[in-house]
Amino acid sequence: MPDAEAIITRPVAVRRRHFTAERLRFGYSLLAPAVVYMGVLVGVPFFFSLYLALSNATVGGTSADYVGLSNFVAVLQDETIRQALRNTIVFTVVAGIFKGILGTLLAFLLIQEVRGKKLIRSLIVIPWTLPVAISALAWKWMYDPQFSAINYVGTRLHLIQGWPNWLGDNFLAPVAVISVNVWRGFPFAAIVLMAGLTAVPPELLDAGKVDGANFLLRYRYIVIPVIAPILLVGLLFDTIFTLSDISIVYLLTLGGPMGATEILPTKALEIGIQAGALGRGASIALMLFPILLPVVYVLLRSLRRRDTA
Amino acid sequence: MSKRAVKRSARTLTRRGLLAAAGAGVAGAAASRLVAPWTAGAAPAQIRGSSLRILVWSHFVPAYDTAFDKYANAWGVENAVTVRVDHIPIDQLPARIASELAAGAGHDIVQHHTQILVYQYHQQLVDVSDICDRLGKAAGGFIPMAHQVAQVNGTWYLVPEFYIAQPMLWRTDLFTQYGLKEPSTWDAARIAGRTGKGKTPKHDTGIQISHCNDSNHDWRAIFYAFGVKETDPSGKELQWDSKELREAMRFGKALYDECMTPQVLSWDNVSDNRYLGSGVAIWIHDAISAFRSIQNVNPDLYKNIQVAGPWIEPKGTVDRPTPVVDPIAMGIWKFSKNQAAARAFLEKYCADVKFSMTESKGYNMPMLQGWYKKPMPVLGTDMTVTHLQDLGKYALINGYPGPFTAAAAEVLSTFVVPDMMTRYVQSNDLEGSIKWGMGQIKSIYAKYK
Amino acid sequence: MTAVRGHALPLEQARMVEAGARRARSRSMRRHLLVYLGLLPFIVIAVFPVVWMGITSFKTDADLVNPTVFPFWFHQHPTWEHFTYLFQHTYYKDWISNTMLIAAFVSLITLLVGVPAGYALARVGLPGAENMGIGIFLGYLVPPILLFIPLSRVVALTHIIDTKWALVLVYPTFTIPYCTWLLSGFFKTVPPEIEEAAQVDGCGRLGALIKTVLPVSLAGILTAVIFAFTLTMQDFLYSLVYVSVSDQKPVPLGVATDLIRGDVYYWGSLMAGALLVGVPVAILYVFFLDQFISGITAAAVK
Repeated sequence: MPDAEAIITRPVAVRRRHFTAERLRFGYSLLAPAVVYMGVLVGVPFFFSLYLALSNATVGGTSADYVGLSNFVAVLQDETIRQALRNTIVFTVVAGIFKGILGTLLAFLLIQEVRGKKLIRSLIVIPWTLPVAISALAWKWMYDPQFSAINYVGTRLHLIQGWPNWLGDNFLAPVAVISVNVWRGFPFAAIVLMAGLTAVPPELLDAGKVDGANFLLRYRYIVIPVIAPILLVGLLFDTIFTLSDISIVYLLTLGGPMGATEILPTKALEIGIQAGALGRGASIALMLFPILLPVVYVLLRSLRRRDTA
Repeated sequence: MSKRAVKRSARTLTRRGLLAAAGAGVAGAAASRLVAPWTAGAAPAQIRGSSLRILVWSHFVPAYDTAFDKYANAWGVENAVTVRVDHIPIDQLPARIASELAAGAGHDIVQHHTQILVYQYHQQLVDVSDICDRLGKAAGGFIPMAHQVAQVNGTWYLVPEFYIAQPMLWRTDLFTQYGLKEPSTWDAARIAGRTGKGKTPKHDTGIQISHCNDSNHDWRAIFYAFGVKETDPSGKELQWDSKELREAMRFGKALYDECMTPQVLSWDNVSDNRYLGSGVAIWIHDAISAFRSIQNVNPDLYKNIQVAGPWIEPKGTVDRPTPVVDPIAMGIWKFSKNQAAARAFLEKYCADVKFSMTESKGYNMPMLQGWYKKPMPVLGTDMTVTHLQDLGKYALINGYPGPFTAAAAEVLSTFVVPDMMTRYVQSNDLEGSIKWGMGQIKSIYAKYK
Repeated sequence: MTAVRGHALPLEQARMVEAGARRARSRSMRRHLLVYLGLLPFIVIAVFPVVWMGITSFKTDADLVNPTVFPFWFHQHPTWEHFTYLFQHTYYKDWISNTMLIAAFVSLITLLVGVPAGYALARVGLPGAENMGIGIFLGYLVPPILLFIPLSRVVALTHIIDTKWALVLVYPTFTIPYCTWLLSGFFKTVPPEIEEAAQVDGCGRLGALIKTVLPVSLAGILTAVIFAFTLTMQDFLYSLVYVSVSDQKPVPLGVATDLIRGDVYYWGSLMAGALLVGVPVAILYVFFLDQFISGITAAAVK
């Protein structure tokens, strides 16, 4: 693979030396629409919301005064918001781990040539294609304390004892929320990993077999290095989606019981929109960034590596 | 015009019928005065050819949406105004409002619901004092609660539309069968729940102890009945932390332990309706839409349900009923380019209490004092809900006895009271739970100082 | 002997071939069985809620809230009423056409913006291009909950607020970063000789771009379109705050807002409405899954 990279990138490097103004113009004009689009519709509003976070803006107010970092101070002092921050991290990490494990297992199975492959794939991919807002509603009904279909089936198959109150229990409610996230995310994880597995050149695997490497070793030294960048990207997109998705919690629990499922986006909605404290709401939503930063860091590194390899 | 004809014309919504219904609805002199400002004052000549966009919730009595759309369109046809009505679910109104204000564009008239932030929004709302004054004059003034909902420093920024009663809905058949006293006090309700829970099959009850709106106002209704005050009447000084709060919470825990299903910890606004609808609950404390839907699905069950009683709301230790209701009011944005049309419509529609009460089957409770003359539309003839006719003068809103300030709104939207109750019923640590709750409330109020 | 051997050999061979085939068959059967067994729990997990949704959409309301019976079967006759309600009493047909239209235009904008950007990032080798690429990508990280308030003002300036076009404008903010990155990966897989040859042929830079883009266009377009569809279906907040007019809504918003009337959930119609769009997209995925996978692979590895 590195060789192929070298072949492709070398001419670019050669060309780089005779840059003409015309070529520069051409290149930048190709990039411009994307930069402008994102700049106007994301960049500008983003900086405006940064300002909101530093102000005492309210939903109905006509002016917003600069208040420095006091919103952030207030937010960090609030124990329920710290809980939301913790929950956000725990949900994302735990859901990520489960999606990773289930996705890997599923990807290995899905790349097998078996009859009915297309049907199986289409069944498995459905959770990912259903609108998340509506599947969350369906899950809410399945978790319903009185009519829970899960309890009905589970107790009869002796998988569940008693009649658990999924969304009312401090431990089960987060489990329920994470389950829905995993349920809708694992097909995508599997697709991304299938992409990774198909990228592993069979010659490499055969070479490994000849050298007598067992399955785990082959997996560790041949498969993982090749699929790592793909995995990373999949994880990245999924993490971003999980972090900013509000609909599952919003529709299932509204953050209850006792804030056990409260996450930063729902907290931002409660305080910034429902109570109207726009500035504080923005500062809560911005707390997502310390979590996103490591993700961004990894992303930047991987992007850079792609270009310099 | 006979009563029957009025009813029919209101339903078919012909132009003349509407006016007739509005006019004929009120007894005596109020009637002519009610129509007067409309026919005489706000002659809508200059609004012809303009357009009007109205945003309202998806009504809990779905038929009302259809009726309201027809009403608005009929009004539009009559005045040559293009009217468009949009409905969104109640929970999503705040996000939409925030977005419209940030955009400076959207609807001309927006309905404000339950958590009415008139203290925050008033800078963006058109002064509608003239409309409210005329409406009030024609119909004996607004009920006391309406002033807290729609006024800031004596100026009306919203036109009070109606409110939603959250009364006791109780099973007369079970109460008779078990030889129970009417739930005129919370103690009687507790005994009833305890008795029902001990029977086979179980007929227990439930009040949400979870993150939802019903949980917020039901527990407040109980707290206020035991004398809890959120603030002083100005809404500035906190008075939550009191021996009354302790008594109320102890009672609440007993209610939970003795009478309720543990399911309440995950209930949403609708779960108690279903609990009643599935024939289990001996009583619930919720809006009457709960039993309107039962009317269609299960008529046998429906005829055994009674709404409140002459006592209006179960009493605690305070010597007055303390029903907490959800108020609804309509406002006009300052950015609206069709304010004249919006004013004309609001004045017409908010005076038309007869339409509101009839089409909502008694769900919409009048904000205007004059409409509490018995017999009231629907409530006067439907014996099940007839006791709601006395609700007006007692109705309270969240934040009592202060106004519903931004700080009170944040206490509501962050579910401090439900969480405090959850803590207590799970840990049995009264002082610890109160300490946590008071900490939350204090820090919220501190941010608005 | 020779004759006998001559006879015996093919026979023996045939027998051996047959045995081999049988072994292969049984091996393949065993493998099939194993794979199926392995897949079974995944299929059950994925499909359990979907089957339940499907059954719900054909159940009468009274059957649905009967707590005493097995929820996975019909205890009254299945009914079409939820589907007829959906098509006759709601704007479902409009929602579907809105969703298709939004997805189509979002794909178009994404390609128009993402193809040149991806090409510039992959092949032109501009100084500073990398940072710009990262900048574009960072846009994907900003959560909608933070963005939707200030973005309202931008959307309002265009006077398309409360129409489906508002969503056509906004949704590319999350498809452009994704697809630019995917497409730049695609373009890196095209040998530079093609591009250089095109330039030698006097095609000019734009011609070279087209020559480079064409070979991968199908996979790239499909990937972008599939993504546009999926992401259009996943959004809730933007559509909620920017579109309140019933006949302008996309399917997820329309279903979730117009089929929940207060405490009345039109469960059957809700589920029917979700499945009618979710299942076709799932089938679409399967048809293009291989393209999709090669797209991701190219983008990530190159």
